[in-house]
Amino acid sequence: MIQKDPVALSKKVRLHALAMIRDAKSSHIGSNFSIADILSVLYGKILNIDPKQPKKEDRDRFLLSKGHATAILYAILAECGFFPVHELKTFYQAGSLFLGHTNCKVYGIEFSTGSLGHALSVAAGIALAAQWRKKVFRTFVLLSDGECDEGSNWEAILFAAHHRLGNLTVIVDYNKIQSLDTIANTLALEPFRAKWEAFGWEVLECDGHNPEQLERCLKDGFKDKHHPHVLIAHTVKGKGVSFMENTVLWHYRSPQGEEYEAAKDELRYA
Amino acid sequence: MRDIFIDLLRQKALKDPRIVLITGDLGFGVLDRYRAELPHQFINAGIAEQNMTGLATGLALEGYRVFTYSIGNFCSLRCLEQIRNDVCLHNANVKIISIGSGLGYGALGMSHHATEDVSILRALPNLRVYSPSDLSEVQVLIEALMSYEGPAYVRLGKVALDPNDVRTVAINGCNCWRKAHLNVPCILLTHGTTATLAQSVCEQIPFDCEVYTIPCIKPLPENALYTLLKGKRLIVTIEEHTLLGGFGSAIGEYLLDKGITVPLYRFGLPDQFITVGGTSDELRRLCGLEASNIVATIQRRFQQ
Repeated sequence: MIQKDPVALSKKVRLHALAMIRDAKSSHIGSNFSIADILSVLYGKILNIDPKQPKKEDRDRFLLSKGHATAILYAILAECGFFPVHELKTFYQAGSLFLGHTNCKVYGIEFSTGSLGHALSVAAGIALAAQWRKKVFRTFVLLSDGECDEGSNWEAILFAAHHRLGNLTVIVDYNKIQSLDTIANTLALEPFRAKWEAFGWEVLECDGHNPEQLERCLKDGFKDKHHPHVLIAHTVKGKGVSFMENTVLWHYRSPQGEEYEAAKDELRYA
Repeated sequence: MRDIFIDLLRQKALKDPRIVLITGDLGFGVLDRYRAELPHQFINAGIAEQNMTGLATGLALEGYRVFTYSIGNFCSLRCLEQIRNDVCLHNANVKIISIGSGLGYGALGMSHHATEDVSILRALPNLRVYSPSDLSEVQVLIEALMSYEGPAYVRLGKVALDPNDVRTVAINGCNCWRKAHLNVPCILLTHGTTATLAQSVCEQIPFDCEVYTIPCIKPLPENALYTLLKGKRLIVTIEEHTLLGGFGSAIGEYLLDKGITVPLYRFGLPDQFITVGGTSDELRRLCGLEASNIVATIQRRFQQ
C-alpha cells in the first residue's frame, strides 16, 4: 500500500500534467484535472499496490476507462515510484511508451484504453476471476460520464450485477460535460443514480474533489458484498484552473504561452 | 463440425480447470453436455457480444483459457473493436469460435452469412485465423489451440463430418486431400466448407491436379506453400467467402511477395450481399460456387 497525502499528490500531478500537455501540444487537460483528486486518493490511500512488484498477484486492479485522461495517471504513477518522474517528459514523443491514451506497456498500467466503453467489461472479467478463485483483491474502473453513452458499458453493468460482483467498484467522473457539449444537451444521463440502482448496483455519491469524502466512500463506504459498487463522483471539468473549469473548450485546447503560465500560477499557489 | 469441436473442448476442459467457454446465448443443443458437466467453466453472457469479448479478455488476463462462442458475425464483426483493442492488443488467451461459416445459415439471410470475416480478422495483429475442413483438422486444431497462449479466430462450418475420415495432418501445413501424381501442373487450395467442392472440381477437371486444404489462414504455412506452389502452371483457390481480401487474396499476396509467377484463379463469393432465400448449397450455386462452373471457367481461362 502506498501512503501519500492526496492533497499534495493532486497538486503535483496537476502541474506535471499541465507541463506534459503543453510540451506535447496535446489536449484533454480538462478531463485530466477532473480526475486528479480521485486518482490521488485511489493511489495515495486505497489501492493495494506496490511499485516494486507491479504484477504481484494479490494487488488491486485499476483500469482507467477514459484513456484520454492518461497524462495525470502517468504523473501519479511517477510520483508513486513506478518510474522516474523525468520520464514524463517523453509524453507524446517519437518512440515513447507514454502515448496519448493509456498504454499498458508503461510500468504500473494494468490495461490499455483509448476507445471508450471497453474497460468495464474487462474489469468484470477480472473481478469474476477473483470471485471464482476466492481472491480478496478489488477491481476498480474509472469511467467518464460521457462514456456512459456507450452501450457496451450497459452490457457490462447488467453482467456485473447478475454475477453479483461485489469486488468490483466503478467510479464515474461526473463532470457533466462531454466532447462537444454538456451531457444534458447531448444524451441526458439523469436520473443517473436511479439508473445504476435499477441495474442492481450499490450507489454512493460524493464530491469528487474532496479527498476525505472520496477516501471514506472508497475505503469502506460500500456495505453490500453481493452487488457491484458505483461511486458517482461529482466533479468539475478542468478543476483547479479557474478559466478552464466547466468549459467544453478545454477538452481540446492546449495550454500554451501565457495561458500555461497563468494555469501554473493558479495551481502552484492554490 | 461444431459438435465435434465442442465435444473435444469438453474433454480438454474436464482435465483443465482454466478452460472457460462463454456463449453469447447461442448453442441450443450443442453446448448442453459441456454445460452439464462443467457448470463452473461455462458462462452464458447473454446477447451482449461486446461485453462477452471484454469479459473474456479480463478472464484471460487472470490466467484463464477462454473460448467465446456464437454465430459467425456476432462474435466477430459485432465486437470487432473489443477483439482488436482488448484481445489482440493484450495478446489475451481468447479463442473466438465462430459457427455457420460462409453461407451456412442459408435462408436466414445476410445477417447470418459470415462472408467477410476472414478478410477483416486476418488484418488484426496477433490474431491467428483457422478454418478446418474435416475431423482430422479439427483434432489437430484443438491441440494447436491448447498449446498456444494467444488469440485465435476459429471458423467452423455446419457441415457434418464423417468420423471415419481421419487423415494425418499438421495444422500449420498444407494438407493433401487427393494426390494424383508428382509434378501435377495444377493445384487447388481451399479451406473450411469448400474442401468437398474442391475435391469434385479436381475429379471433373480434364488434367491432373491436386487438392490441398490450408486450415491455418494466418499465419500461412509459408515454407510448405513455397515447396508446393513453385513450378506449378496454375493455382486455384476456392472459398465460401468474399473474394475481397479472403484466403485467395492471402495466397495472391504470398505469391507476389515471394516472386512466384504462376497464374492464380480465385473462386469465392461476389462483392454483394445475398438477399434471396435458399439452402446453403443453393446459395453457393447461385454464386457460382459449384464444380461444373469452376471446371468450365478454369478450362476456358487455361486455354486462353
